[in-house]
Amino acid sequence: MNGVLRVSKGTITVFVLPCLLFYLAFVFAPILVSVYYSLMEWAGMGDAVFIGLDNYIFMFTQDPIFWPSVLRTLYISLFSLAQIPIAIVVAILLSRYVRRPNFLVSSYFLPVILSVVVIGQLWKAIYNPASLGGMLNKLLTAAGLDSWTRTWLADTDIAIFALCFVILWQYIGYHVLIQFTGVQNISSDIYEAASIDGAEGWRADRHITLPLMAPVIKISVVLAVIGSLKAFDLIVVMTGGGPADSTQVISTHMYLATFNSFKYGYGSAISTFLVVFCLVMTVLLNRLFKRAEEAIS
Amino acid sequence: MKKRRTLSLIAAATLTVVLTACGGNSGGNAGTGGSESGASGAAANAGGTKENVTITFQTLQTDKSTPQYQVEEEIANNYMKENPNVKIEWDRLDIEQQKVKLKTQAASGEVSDITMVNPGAQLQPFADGKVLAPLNDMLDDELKGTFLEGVLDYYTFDGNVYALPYNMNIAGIYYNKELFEKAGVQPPATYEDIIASIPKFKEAGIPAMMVAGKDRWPLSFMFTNILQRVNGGPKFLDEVVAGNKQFTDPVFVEAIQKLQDLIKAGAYQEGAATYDYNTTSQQFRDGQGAMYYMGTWEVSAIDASEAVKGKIGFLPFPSVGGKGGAGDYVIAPGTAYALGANSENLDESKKFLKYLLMNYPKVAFEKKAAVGLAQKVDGDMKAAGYSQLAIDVMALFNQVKGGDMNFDNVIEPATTQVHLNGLQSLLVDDGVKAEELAQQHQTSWEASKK
Repeated sequence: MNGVLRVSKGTITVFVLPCLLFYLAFVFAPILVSVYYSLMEWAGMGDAVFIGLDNYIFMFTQDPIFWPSVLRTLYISLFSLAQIPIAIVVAILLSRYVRRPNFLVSSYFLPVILSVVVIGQLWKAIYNPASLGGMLNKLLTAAGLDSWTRTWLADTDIAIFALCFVILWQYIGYHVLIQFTGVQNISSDIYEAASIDGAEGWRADRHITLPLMAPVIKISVVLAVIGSLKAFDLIVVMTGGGPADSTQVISTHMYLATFNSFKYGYGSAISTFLVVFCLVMTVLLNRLFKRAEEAIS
Repeated sequence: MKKRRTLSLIAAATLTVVLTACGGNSGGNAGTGGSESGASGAAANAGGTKENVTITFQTLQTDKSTPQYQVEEEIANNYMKENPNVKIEWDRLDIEQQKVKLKTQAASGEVSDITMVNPGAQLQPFADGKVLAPLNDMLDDELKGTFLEGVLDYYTFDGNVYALPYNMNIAGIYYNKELFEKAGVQPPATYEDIIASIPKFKEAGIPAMMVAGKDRWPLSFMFTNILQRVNGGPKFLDEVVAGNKQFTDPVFVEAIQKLQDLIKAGAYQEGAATYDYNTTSQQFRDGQGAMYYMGTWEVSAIDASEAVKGKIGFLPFPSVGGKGGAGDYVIAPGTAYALGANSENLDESKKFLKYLLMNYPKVAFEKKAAVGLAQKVDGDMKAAGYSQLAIDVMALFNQVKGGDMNFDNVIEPATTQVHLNGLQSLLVDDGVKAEELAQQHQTSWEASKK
C-alpha cells in the first residue's frame, strides 16, 4: 500500500505546476502590477510618473468619497450576514414541515442564477417613482400608506439600503440551499434520541442543530462577507454609484476613478487597499470562528 | 512489454495522422487565400496583386433602425465592393462600453484600426498618450472643404488633427406644443418664464421638464448653457483653463444657484436622479413631459415618434436674469473617427476613412439624417420630405454666432466627475450650498494641475 501512495517529487511538480503557474500569472501577477501602478501617477496611457505613496495619502486623508464608501461596503457585509439566520430558520422549517422541499429550495435559488443585469432592471422597476410605474410605491399608495412612498433609489439616505435589500433577496436562496443541505446531513437518530430525553422542536434545534451546523454556517458567513466586499455589478446597473456618490462602495469607487477620471494609478491604489482589506477580513473571520468553535466544544 | 510497445506505436501513428491532417488543412487554407487575393487583384485590375486587409472598425452604432447605423454600413459595403481586398470588421458597442474598452485598449496599446472619440478634453489624453495617429496627411483640401467652419479645431492639438467628426450638434429646449396648450403656458422667452410656468404644469399634472439625472451629463449639458448666459457670453470655462478665472468666481456660483432655483421650484419629473438617458428621451417622445433640454441629434428620433410627431418645437436656450445672447449655443462637436497610431493598416484605414467621410453627407441626407452633421449638406430639405422641426433646427445652425463645448469636453476628467456628481446632488439634496460646490470644483481642478 505504501508503495502506491508514495509519489515522487517530479510527479507532484507536474501536477501542481500548471495550476500554480496559472494562479501566479492570472491572480498574483496582476495584483503585483497594480501595487506597482498604485505608486504612479498614470492616466492609463502615456508616461507614468513615480509619486511614492501620494496616492495612498490622498486616499486616506483627502478623498471625500473613500471612507464613506468603505463604510458602505461594511454596511453591505453586515446586511448580508443578516440573511444567514433567516436562511437557517427557513432551512429548518423546510426540512421539518415540508413534504417535498426540493422544489421550494430550487425556487429560492432561482435569483442566484439570474443575470445581475436582469435583477437590476427588475428591481429598478419595483423601486421606480409611482409616476414611472414603480410597483413598490404603487402598492404603498394602494394600501393607503402614501406618506411611506419614496423615490427609493434617488434618496441619498435610503438608496444604499434599497440596494442592500436586493442583494439580500438575491443571495438568500444560496444560503438556504447551503443550510438546507447541512440540516439534511444531520442524522435523524440524534433527534430521536433527544426526543426520548424530552428535547423536541426549538430546544432540539438550539442544542443539536445549531452546534452541528457550525461548519456549514461558517462557509455561509465567509461567502456572504467576501461576496459583499466585492459587490459591484448590481450597484453599477441600478444606481451607477449615485445619486451624488451615495451608493459608492470600494469597488465602484475604484472603477469610476480608473475609467471615468483617467486615474489608473489612483484606481490601482484603491484596488490594492481592497485586496488587503479582503485578506484582513478573511483572517479576522477565521479567528472569530476558531474561538466560537472552541467555545462550543 | 510487447503490449506496451504496440500501444505506443498506435499512439504514434494516431499522432502522425492528426498532425498531417492539420498540416494539410493549413496548406489548403494558404492555397485558397492565395487564389483569393489573386482573383481580387485581377478584379481591381490595378497593377500587381493587392494584399488582403481587414480593418477593424469600432463604432457606436448598435441600433440597426437608426440612420447613423445605416449610413456607415452602406458606405462601408460600397467600399468593400469597390475594393474586394478590404474587409471591414465591425466592433459595435454602447457609448459607455466603448469608452471603457477604448481606454483599456489604449492602456495596452492595442487600439482598433478605426475608433470613435469625443472632442476637446476627452480627446486630449489620447492625443498626449500618442495612441491615436495624426491625420494631417490625409486631410487634403478636398476633404477639408467638406467640414463646417471651425469644427476641426475641437480635434486639433499642437497643430495635429487627431480625429474627424461625423456629427455636430447644438443644444436647446424641445417643447411639446400640445402640453403647453393643455397647461395654458406660452413658450418661454426667458429662464424666469420657465420657472414661473412650473406651477401651471404641476396643476395640469405634467412634469415641466425632463432630465436624465442618473446619467448626469444631461444636467451638466444644460448647466453649461446657464453658465454661458450668466457669464454674458461663451468661454467662461476656457478662461478657467487659461488660468484667468476660477470656479469660485461669482459667475459660476450664480450659475449653480440658477439651476438650483429651477430644481427647487420642482421643474423636473419625480425621481429624476434615477432616470437614464434612453428612458428619459423615450418618455419625452411618448409625450410625458413638457420641455426637454437636449442636443439636436434628437430630431430624427422625435420625427419617428407617432405620439409627438409634428407637436414638438425647438427653442434656443433663453436668457437668464436678462443676460446672454440668443446667438450663443452649447455646441456638441460630436463624435469623431480616429485611427489607432499602432495600426498595421494605417494607410488602408486612411483611404477608407476618407471615402467614408467624402460620402457621408450625401448618404445621410438621403436617409433623412442631415440635421447635426459636421459636414456641409446640399439639397432641398423640404423637397426631400424633412419635417418642419428638422428644417427649423437646420435654420438655427446658420445663426450660431458662438458657443461653448459641454463641460466634460473642456475640463479634465477628474474635475468633471466632481462636477457631474455635484450637479446630481442638487437633484436629491435641497441643502447643497452653491459656494461649497464651486469650491469643490476649484479644489479638484487645482489638484489636477499640480
